[in-house]
Amino acid sequence: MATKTNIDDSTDCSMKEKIQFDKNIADRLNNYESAVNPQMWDRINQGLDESPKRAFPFWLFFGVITFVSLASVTTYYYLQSDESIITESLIIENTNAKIDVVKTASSQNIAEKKNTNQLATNQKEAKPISGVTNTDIQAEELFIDAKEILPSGSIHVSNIKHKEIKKETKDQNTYTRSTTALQTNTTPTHREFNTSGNLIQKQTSKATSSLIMQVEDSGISMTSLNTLDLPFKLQWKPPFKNPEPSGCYDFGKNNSFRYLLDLYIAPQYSFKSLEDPSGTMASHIASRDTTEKSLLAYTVGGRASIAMSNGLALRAGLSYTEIQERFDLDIANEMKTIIEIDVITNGMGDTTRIDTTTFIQTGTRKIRRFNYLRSFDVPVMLGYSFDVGNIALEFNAGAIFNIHFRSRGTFLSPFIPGQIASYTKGDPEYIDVYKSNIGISYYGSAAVSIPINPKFDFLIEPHVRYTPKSITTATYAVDQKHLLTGAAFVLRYKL
Amino acid sequence: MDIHKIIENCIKGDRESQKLLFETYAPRMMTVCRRYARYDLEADDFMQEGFIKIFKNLHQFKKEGSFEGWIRRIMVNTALQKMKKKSFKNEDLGIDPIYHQVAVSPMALSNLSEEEILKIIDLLPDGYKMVFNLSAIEGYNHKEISDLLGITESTSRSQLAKARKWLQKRILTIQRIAV
Repeated sequence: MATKTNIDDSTDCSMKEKIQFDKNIADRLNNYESAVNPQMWDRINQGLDESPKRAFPFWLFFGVITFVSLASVTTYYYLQSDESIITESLIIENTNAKIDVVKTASSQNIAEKKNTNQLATNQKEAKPISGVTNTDIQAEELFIDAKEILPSGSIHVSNIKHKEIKKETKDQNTYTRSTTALQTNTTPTHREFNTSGNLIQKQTSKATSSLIMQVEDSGISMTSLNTLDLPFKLQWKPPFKNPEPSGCYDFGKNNSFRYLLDLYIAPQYSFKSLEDPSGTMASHIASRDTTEKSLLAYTVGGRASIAMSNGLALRAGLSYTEIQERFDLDIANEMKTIIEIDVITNGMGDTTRIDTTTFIQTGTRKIRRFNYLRSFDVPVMLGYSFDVGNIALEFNAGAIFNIHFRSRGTFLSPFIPGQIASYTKGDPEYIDVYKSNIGISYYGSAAVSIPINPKFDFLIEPHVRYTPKSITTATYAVDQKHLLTGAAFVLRYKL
Repeated sequence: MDIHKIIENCIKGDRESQKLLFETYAPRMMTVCRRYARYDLEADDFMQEGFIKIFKNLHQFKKEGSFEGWIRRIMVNTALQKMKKKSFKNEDLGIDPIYHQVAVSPMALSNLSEEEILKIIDLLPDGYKMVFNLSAIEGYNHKEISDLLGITESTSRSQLAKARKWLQKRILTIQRIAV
């Protein structure tokens, strides 16, 4: 009965009593020692000997895939860069303006048709098909490189298709005649004639695009070109190759005096500013702004850090940065020459006549080139990191010292309005625009570090890099500055 | 031997030191595991996995705090992970009884042995048991409990209150039977 009274009287249990109740139980149990399974140590001992079964780190898998993919893409563009100083020189045909300018007959020597800027290419005569009845003969195609020296001095190269087609025929009196395009912007044709010389079929394969590139960068077979009767000497130069990108950058974790190694890749965007200190280049700057467009920029690199127990870290490394831009220019009222040459053979395979027809087309020439600004740098910075739950936040600030700066590309000439110029060393239109060393840039970043396992961390590091001084030379009266911003994906190894 | 010296040897992989460390703390850690486990074999599993984690992560122990507190946390976390904390979110706790506010005198508690207290706690529904263990004995706050178990703080408070009342009633019942 006394107990019941006790219960009823205690309906107002205070917070203090609650806490005391909890404390009493905690005191009793916290130091209480339970019996341990005697085999427990053996089981633990065995567990310590076993290799750890870790859950598969899917995020690491995707991180590596992302890293490799980005590296592959950038490497691809890097390796493509030699060929992709590419100019897509496209003339949009104005069919109404197509004029039959020249038509020759019975021309026996194709070489006679060469003008100073029209270079002959390999010519392949059609073989007779007499005697071939009801037989399928496969088409044969041959791509021939043709060249043209432009007034600017650059070489115009185009892939022109030479096509020889043998068609199934039942008429042994029919023979084929092939045409070969001889020069830049020409259109090869294929025609078939009957024995009386009347045209029975004509196929025209229009080479509507051509490439302008520098010979040393074109990658065209010199062997094939040297077989041509060219009005200049071709010399083989190995394709331009940039040095291997080196790694560099990082952030540290606050452990007691630890060494950290980082590998990273950072997609970026480049903000370019063109300034006119002399006050005379406003129109040139405006024309550059309209013809140049920033594309992807990226940095890859590696860095090492010494992280101290107070969270501070000193970092240094090596990095490679590439800023990609695109140059687009339309030139109206361009002219295109088309030469059609008909080689007429008889049933024995002997050439009986060569007929050459020349056309001129007018249209708009569209030029697109990809420009590159590349730099090798040594970043040196001070970092500070601190833990926030399971992750760590890191801040870095420092300087990036440029080792070498290289530029390749096309832009509008600052001297002749509308004229194309180049800042690629060795080009005929070369103008000294960019420095070979751009000095110091400033770097700042904030990063989130996510632990993968005791040895590896993954960091996402948004950052900004600013180059305070102009990267152009004194001879070019426009100051150009860059601000790069992006996010680095960092894989960190803790030594 | 100094505990820090033992820890250093354990980090180096000295099996004898590891055994010594195990024997020092195993009985108290077994009590911890029993409070969370639903049966003895499960407590053994918590114990085994917890100690393996302790030995493999011993280098991360910062010597500033209590070593026993550190290993106790690992044990608790191991138990929670093993029991899949999310399962508690949807656990069927049954009909919540309306407990009267009762007071349990310290004498009533002192009349019970630790084994009896453990058995009473073990009778708690799993959800109540987790929250009571974490809050009343381990000293976690409701925010930490909500994070650990994937429940809201208000749920944690509510379950703690209900667990406490449940235990008080059970203890008083035992006390009445004894009287």
